Amino acid sequence: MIPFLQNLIDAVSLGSIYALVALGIGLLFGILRLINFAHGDFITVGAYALIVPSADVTARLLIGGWPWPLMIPTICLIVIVAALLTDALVFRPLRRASSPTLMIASFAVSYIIQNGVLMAYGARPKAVDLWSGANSQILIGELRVPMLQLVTLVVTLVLMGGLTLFLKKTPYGIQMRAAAEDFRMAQYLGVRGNLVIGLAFAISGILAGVVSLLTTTQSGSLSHMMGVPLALFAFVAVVVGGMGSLVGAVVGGFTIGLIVTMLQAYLPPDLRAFRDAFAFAFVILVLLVRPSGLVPARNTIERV
Amino acid sequence: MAPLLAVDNIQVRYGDLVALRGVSLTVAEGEVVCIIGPNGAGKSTTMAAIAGGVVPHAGDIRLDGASIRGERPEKIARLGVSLVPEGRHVFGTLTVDENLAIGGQLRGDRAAARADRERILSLLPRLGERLHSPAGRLSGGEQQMLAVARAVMTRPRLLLVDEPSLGLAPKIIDQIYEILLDLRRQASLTLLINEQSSTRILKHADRISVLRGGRIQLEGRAADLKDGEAIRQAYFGFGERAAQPAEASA
Repeated sequence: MIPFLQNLIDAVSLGSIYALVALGIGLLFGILRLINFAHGDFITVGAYALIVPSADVTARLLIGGWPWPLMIPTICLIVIVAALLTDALVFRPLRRASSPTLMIASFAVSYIIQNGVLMAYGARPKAVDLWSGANSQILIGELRVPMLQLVTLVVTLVLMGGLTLFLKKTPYGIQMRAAAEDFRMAQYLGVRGNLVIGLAFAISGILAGVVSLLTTTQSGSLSHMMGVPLALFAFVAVVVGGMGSLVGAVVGGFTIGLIVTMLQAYLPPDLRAFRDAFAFAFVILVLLVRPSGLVPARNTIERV
Repeated sequence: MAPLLAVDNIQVRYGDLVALRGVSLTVAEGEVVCIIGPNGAGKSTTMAAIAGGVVPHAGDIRLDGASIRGERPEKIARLGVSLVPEGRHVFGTLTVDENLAIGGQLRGDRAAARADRERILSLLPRLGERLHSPAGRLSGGEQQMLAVARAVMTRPRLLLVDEPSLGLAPKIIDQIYEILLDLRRQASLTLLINEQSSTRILKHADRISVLRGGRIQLEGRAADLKDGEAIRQAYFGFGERAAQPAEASA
């Protein structure tokens, strides 16, 4: 029982990361019908902002060396600026373009960011020690919970709660929900399209910034490709959860985290190398049973 | 003095399809003007062009004499034009209250918006009872009332109503018109309404334009068109000597 619970804690922690990334992708998809594969690279931008730009092997901390009450908002701010710049330079000129065109453009953004990081920082992965207390463990009964996993879960819950409050209770949140459901109708009622889209990019920037701090603390290393697998798994999470549903993105994120962690723990050792293949096979199964995802977007329900 | 709205010879294409071949009409402050025409005549396209949803490739649209052609829909909404689209387009996952809030958000004066909300809800008690249910759960008639209420919450000078009677029972349609006319009296609204049938609208409209095949076929005061004969000919496109169709009760 205890090993299983221990695995479950790992699953929730990994699922939290996927859920946060999936929320960032799902938010933009809801409003812009954009599947933003560059979201993972926003995470990379946040992570590399922690260190001094140089091709040296050993990374010297830049913003990463600041006290955390200053570091966290600064990293978020940098990623927000990156996200808003992406909107202004790439996606705003493509406002009338189709969904596939937007997705291809997001691949271009992704490669541009990766190569920009390559030029500024070099190709070698860099070791970064952001928070040495991250691995201290807290005992709950017989369970050992690493500090970082606890922090990850709490941060995820706080961000989700905050996002929910924003979307339900504030005028801009209500406008964003309206625009996600029927963008043109919202405009007919005077909702400013570019403002709502900019807000969505900014919020996805905050989410990406927080994820960059969590993953960097956990892995202790940076690479210019670090965001790619995150974006891929989160995209799968969005599809499994149900395109266009934010609750679905979260459910999908935790589901993928659970599947990956449990396969890692319980597959026979010889098969563990193929963990991701098994995970994606499971995803295909889920989609065969529920083609529109675990939590289908409500606005696809037919209205009389 | 320039009329509130002047549509001047606009043409609209969707790819190769020509939807409007030169439509002109004017609406003066306080008037009720109705565009009638069969399915596919270009009525909805005309309204979308006025509201900024499609940009005409020729012609001009002026509000108070100033061109609004090519402006964004949100800008035109803020200039005082509000659209109740065909098919209602209420935000189904938002509550009734939130739908009304979207209508009210562009108003600077919060107190006036709140007062308007109370006034509208007193006219539409059904919406008041269901303030916190998702708009998608309302009946078709209730959704149409919400779409009207939401548009009125923007405090428009010109309200565009696209086929308010589509798919609704006659009794509900009467209610919708009653509400539109009530709101018009109370809020000094100017109305431009699209309809497929002239039977009901002849009573309420000041002027009527008949649209068919992307062109205005006939324009006149409702009082002068009361017998319906000219409308029938314009609507169906029969020549003066053509036999009278039996189903021409449109």
